[in-house]
Amino acid sequence: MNPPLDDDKIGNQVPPMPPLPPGAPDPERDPHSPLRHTLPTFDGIRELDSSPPRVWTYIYLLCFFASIWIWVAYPAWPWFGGATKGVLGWNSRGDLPRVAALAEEKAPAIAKRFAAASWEEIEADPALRTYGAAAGRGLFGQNCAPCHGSDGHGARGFPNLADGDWLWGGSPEAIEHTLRVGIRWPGVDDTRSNQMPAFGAQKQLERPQVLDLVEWLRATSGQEHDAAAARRAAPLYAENCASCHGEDGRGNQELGAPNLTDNIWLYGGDRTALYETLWNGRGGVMPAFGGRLSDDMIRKLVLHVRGLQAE
Amino acid sequence: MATTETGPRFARLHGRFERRAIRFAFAILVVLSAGGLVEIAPLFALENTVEKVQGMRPYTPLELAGRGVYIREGCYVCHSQQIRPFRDEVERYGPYSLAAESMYDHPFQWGSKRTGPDLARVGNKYSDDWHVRHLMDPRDVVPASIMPSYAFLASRPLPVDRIERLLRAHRTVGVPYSEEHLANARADLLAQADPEADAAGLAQRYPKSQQRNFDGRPGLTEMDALVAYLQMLGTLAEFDWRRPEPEWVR
Repeated sequence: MNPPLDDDKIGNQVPPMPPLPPGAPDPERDPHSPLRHTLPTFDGIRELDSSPPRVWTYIYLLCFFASIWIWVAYPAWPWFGGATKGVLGWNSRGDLPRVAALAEEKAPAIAKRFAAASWEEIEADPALRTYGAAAGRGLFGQNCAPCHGSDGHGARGFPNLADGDWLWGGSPEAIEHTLRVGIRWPGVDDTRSNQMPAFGAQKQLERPQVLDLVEWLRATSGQEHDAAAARRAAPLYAENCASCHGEDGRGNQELGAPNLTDNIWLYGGDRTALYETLWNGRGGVMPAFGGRLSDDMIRKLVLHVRGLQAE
Repeated sequence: MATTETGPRFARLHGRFERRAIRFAFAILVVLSAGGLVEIAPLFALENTVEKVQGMRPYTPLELAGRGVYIREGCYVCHSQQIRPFRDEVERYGPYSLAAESMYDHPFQWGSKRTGPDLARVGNKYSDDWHVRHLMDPRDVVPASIMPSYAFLASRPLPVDRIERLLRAHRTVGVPYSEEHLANARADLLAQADPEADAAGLAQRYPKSQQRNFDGRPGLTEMDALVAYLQMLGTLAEFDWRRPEPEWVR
């Protein structure tokens, strides 16, 4: 039989084992453990002290020594003269430029051709255009979609980029410039900027005059309107609005003045919205992305934005 | 029964600890001290852990008040402010974050979990109008968003009387606000939110501070403060992450 064990001396005595047939293993004893159970028995319940499978112990020890290797090999411990640098000399900041350069080097041939091409070459090559527009999709989602929507259809105050109606011009050069300098963006000197006056709030027009102009706008844009009021407003338009929006109301992309005849409205074409526009003025803001995105990224965005129209 | 007398030493050791309460408690203490050391030791070396960067300055009073709103509303629960030095993060969010960029943060707003996007460089990325509309009703501008609405911020006046004490509290924990900063705290806060105000003092005390009516509405609300804070995030430090051994890090 087994010799008396240390644990059996503490606390309750373990109830005597039933006699085992000769040669049978003790059911309460792990073959690897010298102990029968960890603690005294409570209410006849015993916690046996079986060892975990040996492989767990080995994995534990492996991790233990691996962590020591990591301390030695990589930057680990902040110390008084600066953090320990590690014998491999690796650090994540130092590695990033290498990874970025590697990504550039391993980029597909078309990406390299795109990066080296001029606007004319891109315009002339459908493969480059397709590549740029596709590559611009992710950039658009990250930088533009919050305002303009993931499909580019915009929202009130944020222009629709897919309708072919451009405020500051829809040529590649114009879109690129808008992306670079933004619109009314503080901090960029040559940002695109104009001022729709607050005709009512600044007391340049009286309330009835503003109401007449609202009817003129609805007439010009082909909506239901009060014809008499619209006629009354014609001289008012010529005097106050035509300098930017043009004699015929078709707008001016040089000045960022919207086309008033196409019934596409940034802030709404209903009477309330038009009145508010005339009374308080408008001035949406778009951030400048020139400092944030690279030239390559901006060109991809331009192509993606131009492609939205066709989708 | 051959193994009875010669069990592995490891198991014997385990048994010896587990059966002696005082010895076991002492062993736990030793192990936990090692963990504590790992967490506490870096603090002794903080000086040389924070790299020197051009452009960093303490928060303006308005930004600091907005930061208070940010913390009060638990924005950090879903948004981290820590861009890690990995290619995917840098391509999405911009240059990775430096320790110096949060050296005036008490507490810092890093994080290891993102439900919303990282905000470390959200400053100057969207217009004020977008921020206001997004905070009022996130689904209005981002249909798939699960962010709650914070429309009430626009109707809660920003308390300005205690701003000097707020700055003083931050100075106590190490933010280098001077007596001049403290004396002008209230004036600077009001000036930053008022496009008509004379902001020469503000610009001199806080370079690169932006001055305008941030929420586009009359009155000074918590919305103004929060948008002012968001619009400065990540805009101060001047460095180029593409240089392998940059001179901006000591």
